[in-house]
Amino acid sequence: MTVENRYGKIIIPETASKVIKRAMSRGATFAEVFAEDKKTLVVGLSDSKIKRNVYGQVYGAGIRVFFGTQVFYGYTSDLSLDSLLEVATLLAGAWHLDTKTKPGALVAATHGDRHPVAENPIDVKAAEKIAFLRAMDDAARSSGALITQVDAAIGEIVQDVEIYNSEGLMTGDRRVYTRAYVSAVASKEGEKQTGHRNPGAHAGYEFIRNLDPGDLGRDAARQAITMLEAEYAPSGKMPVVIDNGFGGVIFHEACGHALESSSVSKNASIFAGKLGERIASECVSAVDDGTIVNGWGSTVIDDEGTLTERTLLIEKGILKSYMVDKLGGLKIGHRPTGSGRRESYRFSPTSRMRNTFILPGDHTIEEMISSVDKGLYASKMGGGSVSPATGEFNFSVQEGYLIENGRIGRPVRGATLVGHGAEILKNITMVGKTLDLAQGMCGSSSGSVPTCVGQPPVLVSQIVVGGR
Amino acid sequence: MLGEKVVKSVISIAKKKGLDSAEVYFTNSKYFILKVHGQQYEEFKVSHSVGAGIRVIIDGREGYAYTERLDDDAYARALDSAVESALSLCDDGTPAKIKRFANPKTEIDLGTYEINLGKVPEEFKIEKTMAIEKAALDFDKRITAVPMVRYSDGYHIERIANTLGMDKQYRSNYAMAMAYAVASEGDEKRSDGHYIVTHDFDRIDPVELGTTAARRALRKLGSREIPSGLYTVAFDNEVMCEILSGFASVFSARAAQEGKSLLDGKIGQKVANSKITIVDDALMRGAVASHPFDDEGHPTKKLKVIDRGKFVTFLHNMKTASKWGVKSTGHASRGSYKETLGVAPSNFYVLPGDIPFTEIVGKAPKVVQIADVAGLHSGINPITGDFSLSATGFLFKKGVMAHPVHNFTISGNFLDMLKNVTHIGQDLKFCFPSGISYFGSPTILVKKVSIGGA
Repeated sequence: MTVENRYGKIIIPETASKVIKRAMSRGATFAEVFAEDKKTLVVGLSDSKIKRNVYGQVYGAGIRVFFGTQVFYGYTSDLSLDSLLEVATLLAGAWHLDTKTKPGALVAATHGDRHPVAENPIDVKAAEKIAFLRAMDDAARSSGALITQVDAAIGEIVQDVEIYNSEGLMTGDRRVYTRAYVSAVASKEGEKQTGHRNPGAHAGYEFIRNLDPGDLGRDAARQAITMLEAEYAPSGKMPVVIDNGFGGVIFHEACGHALESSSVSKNASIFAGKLGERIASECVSAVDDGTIVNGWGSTVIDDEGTLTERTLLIEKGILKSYMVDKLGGLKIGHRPTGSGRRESYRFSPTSRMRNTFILPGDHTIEEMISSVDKGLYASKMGGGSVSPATGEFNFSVQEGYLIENGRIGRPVRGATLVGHGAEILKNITMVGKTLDLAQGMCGSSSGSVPTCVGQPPVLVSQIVVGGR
Repeated sequence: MLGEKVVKSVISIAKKKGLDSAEVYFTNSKYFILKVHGQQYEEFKVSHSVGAGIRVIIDGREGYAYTERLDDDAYARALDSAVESALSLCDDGTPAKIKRFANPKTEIDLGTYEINLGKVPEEFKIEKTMAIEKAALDFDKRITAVPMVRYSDGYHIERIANTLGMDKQYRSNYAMAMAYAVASEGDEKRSDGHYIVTHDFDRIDPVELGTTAARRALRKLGSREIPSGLYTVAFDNEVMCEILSGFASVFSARAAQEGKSLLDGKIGQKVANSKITIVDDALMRGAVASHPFDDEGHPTKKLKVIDRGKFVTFLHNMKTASKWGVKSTGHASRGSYKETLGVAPSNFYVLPGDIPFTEIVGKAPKVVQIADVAGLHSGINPITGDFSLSATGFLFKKGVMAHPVHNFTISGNFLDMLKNVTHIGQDLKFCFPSGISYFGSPTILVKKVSIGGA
């Protein structure tokens, strides 16, 4: 592992010290400078034509000031000392306390680069990316005449961050993200169904080279065609086997967000005040892991400079920890878990998920399916929504099949799973062996950040299926 | 000046790279946003954004890139990427081009920049915002909540230059404040708000703003339901602005060329009652969306989009104009240096008539004033012109307000509505600015509007 100073390249430490000092000149209790230099590139294809190829460089710094638990935020993309001090002065003037917290001298914190990157994706020639996109497009289109539309893209980000704060922290990190997208639309008699694949990693272009564009395109097309030819799902309360990978989206949305300290501290969480209590059935353990090597949601340090960790959230059904950022930690009296994240310097960080998943159990998917007389097998989940106040959720099943007499039967479409975050955790009766993660972007008050959802296959003893 | 330095460097690097058709669009913006709740801050955000958007044209194909980092390395990299982008994109049939529009000798003054506004100390802004909330709460004991009090100000410089020698800039700033109040009596709760947009900080009168918001919420108490049917409806000026903003894309040549405008093929035809004239005036003195040139440097002007009921023109940028063999109307718009060129209105409004509001509501025995609409995002279809919005308002009988009304929807079609206009008020008002355009209208009276109620 290489150990390299990852600070002092966007903002020099002397400048950061001056800004922190100015920000604390009226009694602030904490101040932080987050500097960012991020290059992004998206190459996109639709209608079999390259229609988008946009490079951008995002560059700037956010300044955050605490007066106790009151927080003020400002940012500038002009990193001259004058502009930084102007923002710091405005923030300092927002409040006044008689406390005299002195900023500590900056001390370098070094760490290894846990996520090896072989090839900077942005430096790879457009022609190679276009060939990959065309290969996905061709594979999807040659899967059948029902495929009427294919969109494909490669998205890349190289983000350098530096973090300085009044506790004397001086650190930085480089994050490289590479991701391929393909979606295929199948149409017949005015009906449309979509299938997609979008694998991504905290890694360089080597990640794309190890993908088979034909497989991705064909799989997207297969999903779309299968669902186009499916009948509508039945409705009612029934057992459901939710397969691994993106099936974890329910845990992410309906449980994960409620375990973020921002929602716990506002008492807006169904899990507030439940540390040490049983919140799930005994076969359920879950983690939020920021340390997975090359994991899409991994970083070495979070966006407040705290080292990330593998946080055990639920152990055998018992709530063990929340996901906690600095401010959340102050508010709920919990140690920060390296979960402070933000989209860019334009956002104040807050507690966010990284790679969040249910841990593997003892069962095979065959055991689960064969235990069900009549139910639903949700092979791929789609999107959904959760009411944060009540925990009620509603998710669509992207690719679903009936289970009849312990066997997977015909495909069904239009199914939705309706339930409650706290209840579904108690109704999981079997957890499978084969863990898989799926990459996504999670949007919240601190912007859109890369996260993985995941789980092994799980059997939920009963859940309301909405069909037609 | 930062802007001058940036555009000169980008253009000189572009020329060194042998590019003969490159453009840089630079913006420098400062914003301050303050939200207050219970005499505490709910949000306090200051920001300063700079960025350069680069557009390069090669064989008629355009490539885009942008950078917020302002140094020569970053410009060179962005230019190279824009070139690679232009070369990799598929030809869309209409060659793009840049032009050398004349550089004005001095910056054109449209009254959009007031130097004193930038000198107001932060404490004054905080004090005033707190005072707005207090004034609203103290106005009447039936004001039970003031869920939203917001002050914001902004400063913006835009500069555009290209390799043909064009280089021009303009500046603008503004301050705005708004308050929302909730009035309650028994089980009934009604809310309404008030806002001001100005270049003069002293014109924000916190007592006037807070009490007006309170008064507007209180006037809605005692509200009743209304039976379904066809009514003569007075769309008040604020509501009309919102409806106009929802249907703005109907007037875009780009939308028409993509098959997404219901006005496509209707130039020169009568599409509205002859009382209706709709104007787009980018040169309107002191207005929020005024600018002397558009986002590709094309000079702007005042023009009529609908003239006494007749549809005159779509809004164009150079590319949409070239596709139809017409001239650009100066409506190229980027929204930000990160975006590609599109089309957007500037100060876009219905020309006022001469009838006071008090007379308009007496023009029919029964008139429903629409004072608020919700569901603009989902309830408006700019491709078909259909709308269906939930609304609240007031019922007038023989010109006298009988009672407020709520829990109903209004639905219809935008063009039918313009055809069924019977009277135009004199009370031109512009709505709360959001985005890059600024919409205005007087109150208009429309016959035979369908109301779905009790």
